[in-house]
Amino acid sequence: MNARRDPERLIHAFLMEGRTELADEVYDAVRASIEQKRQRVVIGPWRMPTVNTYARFAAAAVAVIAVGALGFAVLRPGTSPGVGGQPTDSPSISPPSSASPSASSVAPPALTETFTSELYGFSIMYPAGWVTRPATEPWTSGIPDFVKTDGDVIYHPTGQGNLWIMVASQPQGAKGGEQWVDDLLTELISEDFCDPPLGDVTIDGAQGRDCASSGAAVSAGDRGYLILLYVSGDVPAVGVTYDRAWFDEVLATVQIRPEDAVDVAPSGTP
Amino acid sequence: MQDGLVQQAQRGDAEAFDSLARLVGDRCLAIAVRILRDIDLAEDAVQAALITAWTELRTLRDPARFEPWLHRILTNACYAEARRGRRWSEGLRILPVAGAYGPDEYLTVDDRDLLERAFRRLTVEQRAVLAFHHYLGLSISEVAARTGLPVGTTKSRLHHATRALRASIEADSRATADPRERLA
Repeated sequence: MNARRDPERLIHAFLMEGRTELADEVYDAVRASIEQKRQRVVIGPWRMPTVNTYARFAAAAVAVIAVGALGFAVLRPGTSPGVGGQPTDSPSISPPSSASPSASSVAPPALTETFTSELYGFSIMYPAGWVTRPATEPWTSGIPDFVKTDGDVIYHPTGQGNLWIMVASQPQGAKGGEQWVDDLLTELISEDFCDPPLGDVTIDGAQGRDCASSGAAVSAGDRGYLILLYVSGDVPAVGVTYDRAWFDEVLATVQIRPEDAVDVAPSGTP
Repeated sequence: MQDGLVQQAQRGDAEAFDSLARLVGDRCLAIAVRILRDIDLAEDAVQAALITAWTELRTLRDPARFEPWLHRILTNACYAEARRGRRWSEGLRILPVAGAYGPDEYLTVDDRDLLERAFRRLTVEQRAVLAFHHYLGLSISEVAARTGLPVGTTKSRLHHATRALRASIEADSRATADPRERLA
């Protein structure tokens, strides 16, 4: 082979060519989007400011008092549940006339209703007007989604397949909790339900991991739980409203009771 | 300067993040174009990656590692765009990557056409490894960090991708060789 057709050099030269300037419209779209998006709050030692031990105790005490006060305010009889004021009307997920996400952003709806799973041993709160569709068969493999019947699905009344929450659970088997969570997240990523980077998450005391996008898997007792919020990318404005911060609010309402889970064999299965 | 902007953005300063995005955006696009071979998908991937970076920025422990961290997010955004593109745009004719080609006279029009076709036959994961290795000039371990793969897997993916491209180039060379040589 002569030098003219050196493959390595051809490949390198080819990759060095091509467009390298990002259009201003993309920067503008990013700016408009981040103005509407909250950053995910991280609680971890690497974000702790350098403070002495006494200051840490003082900060912890203030936090406990604040949480207690908030809990009393929210849970005392006669007050509406959740935060965020009055529930909004059932939202439309129709795409806005403007392409700008900021122009179409609306406050996410309050979580006022409670769904209790008959199969999987958990409860979760969701917005008024959304439709619940309980699982009719246990989750044994794959990733439950809107078109399957092995996950408890709660969906927007008009959005249906474009906007839904899904929760499912299954025994971890011999894998153990950590391996179950890791395996499931690997499958979620490969199925395009989960965008890395992954982080640690705790849901009602159950430890697990979550995606940068809206998906989480935790282990509780001998069971694993998967919680997904699916927002179709076809309607970008919806993603602005039902974002990761809203999913975090949903996760905060989940109560897990693995002892109440009932794994019933699918009908027709011996 | 970049570290300072990262720290400001981690405190929720959208203006700082905008400045940061403009510092790294061109390079992100260049990477995404080389992975996806489609300018529209590449722009979508960069946009998605920058938005994810904003929401997840507080999880970044070392501001000096911002760009490798962003490239990891970008890689995943490219994979997602590639899957989305495949799902919704199957059958559409994808044009060669638009934009100003560099002045490299080493490549002929035929070379570009051949390589474009050969690149499209690679998996998106193989193209990612090639882009980071050849375009950014990263070592295998640096590529592994950006693609989230073990070093061994990265090495074998680069090997297979290069071998596939080499085979395409050599097959083309044989096909266009002097007919007298082929008959000899």
